Amino acid sequence: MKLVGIVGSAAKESYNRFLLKYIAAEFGDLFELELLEVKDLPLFDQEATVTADSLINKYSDTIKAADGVIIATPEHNHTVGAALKSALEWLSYDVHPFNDKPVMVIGTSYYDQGTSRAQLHLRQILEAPGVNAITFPGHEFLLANAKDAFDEAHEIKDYRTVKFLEANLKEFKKFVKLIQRMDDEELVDDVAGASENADTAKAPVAPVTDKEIAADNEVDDVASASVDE
Amino acid sequence: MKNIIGIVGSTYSKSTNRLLLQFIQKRYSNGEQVQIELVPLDKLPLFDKPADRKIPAVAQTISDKIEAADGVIIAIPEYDHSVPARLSNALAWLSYTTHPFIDKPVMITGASYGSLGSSRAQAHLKQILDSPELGALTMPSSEFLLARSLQAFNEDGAITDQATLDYLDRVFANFMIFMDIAAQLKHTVVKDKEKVQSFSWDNI
Repeated sequence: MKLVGIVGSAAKESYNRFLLKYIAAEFGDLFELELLEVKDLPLFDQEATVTADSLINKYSDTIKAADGVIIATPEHNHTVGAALKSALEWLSYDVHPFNDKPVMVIGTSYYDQGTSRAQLHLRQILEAPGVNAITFPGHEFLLANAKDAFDEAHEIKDYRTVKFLEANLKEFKKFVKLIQRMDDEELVDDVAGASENADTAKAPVAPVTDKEIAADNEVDDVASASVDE
Repeated sequence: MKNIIGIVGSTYSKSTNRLLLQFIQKRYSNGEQVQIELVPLDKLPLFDKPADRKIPAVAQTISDKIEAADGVIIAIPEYDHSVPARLSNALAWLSYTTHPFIDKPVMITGASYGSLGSSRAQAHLKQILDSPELGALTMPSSEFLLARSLQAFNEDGAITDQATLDYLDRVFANFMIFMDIAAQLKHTVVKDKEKVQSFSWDNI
């Protein structure tokens, strides 16, 4: 499985960057994680000319090609960092790479809250029609006291936190597969001609049981992607 | 004389929120009881939390103007159900080394092309202005949501609907009173500022 991790901070030294780098290194057996930096994008400007080879389009293509996205957000003034919001504005204006993309929200902050308020805002932002992501419900990962949470090698010190993170990431992996299954089902409906009527084009898909998801988890990604009942 | 700073939360040249704030300026800024100055946000660079804690000169200038003002009126569009990045970027600069919004009366307005009038963005902005390092006194129980903003103004940039005008007049009249009330709440402003100025995320 290929995921994209978005570092939501523009700061040179960011604990959210440490967090995503740690996930990429520690959980490489679960998925491949490519990191994108919002600090490299300009502030959103709807009047700017966006060239085909711009970083915005590159990011868009990378996200489109990925199976899912993990966003690590800082919290500034009870909301998401401006650099992350700006990136999401770029990626919901001319291009819409988040459309129907499974997204997991995580974050770490200096103090007790662990970006709790920013994560709620981010979930609402990801719901907006131009973004239209499919946000992974529940499974909040709020890493508080960031300065003490990482050791010198930028690894999370607390064993239970690592285990909790791992459990959440495994659940997210299942969620990504579930969404992919939903897309496949829609495709089958379209081929069968159900798309003639807009109301039936998005007909409810057959429920996927826990057992099926569990079965999917056993096989490798390539095989599971082609599973189609 | 009330000295008010107006902030348009978008840098878009055709922003109807700029039209709205320019209209508010024309309607209420008379140089006697009220003076309204609009400050643009387009020259502010991306907030990257500089370790040397030096903020750009343009941020300092805006900060000084807000510091000296009796109140602030903000007009925001809604981008992706929230405040535009340009505005939260400005607010990040204006809550880093200086804290001009502490105990500052703020009136929130907004305009949108559709029927919602930036309602979700305004709700987020209230929460943002309530955060410790902004600490503004946002006028409660007051919403000015200008819907269908492309049709709301005439060629002279004036709002045409009488009911909307009456409502805006009432909200602004309330803001004039609210600034006086807020001034009475300012007995702790020096202490509040000292507290937030001496606080550092790096020292916790």
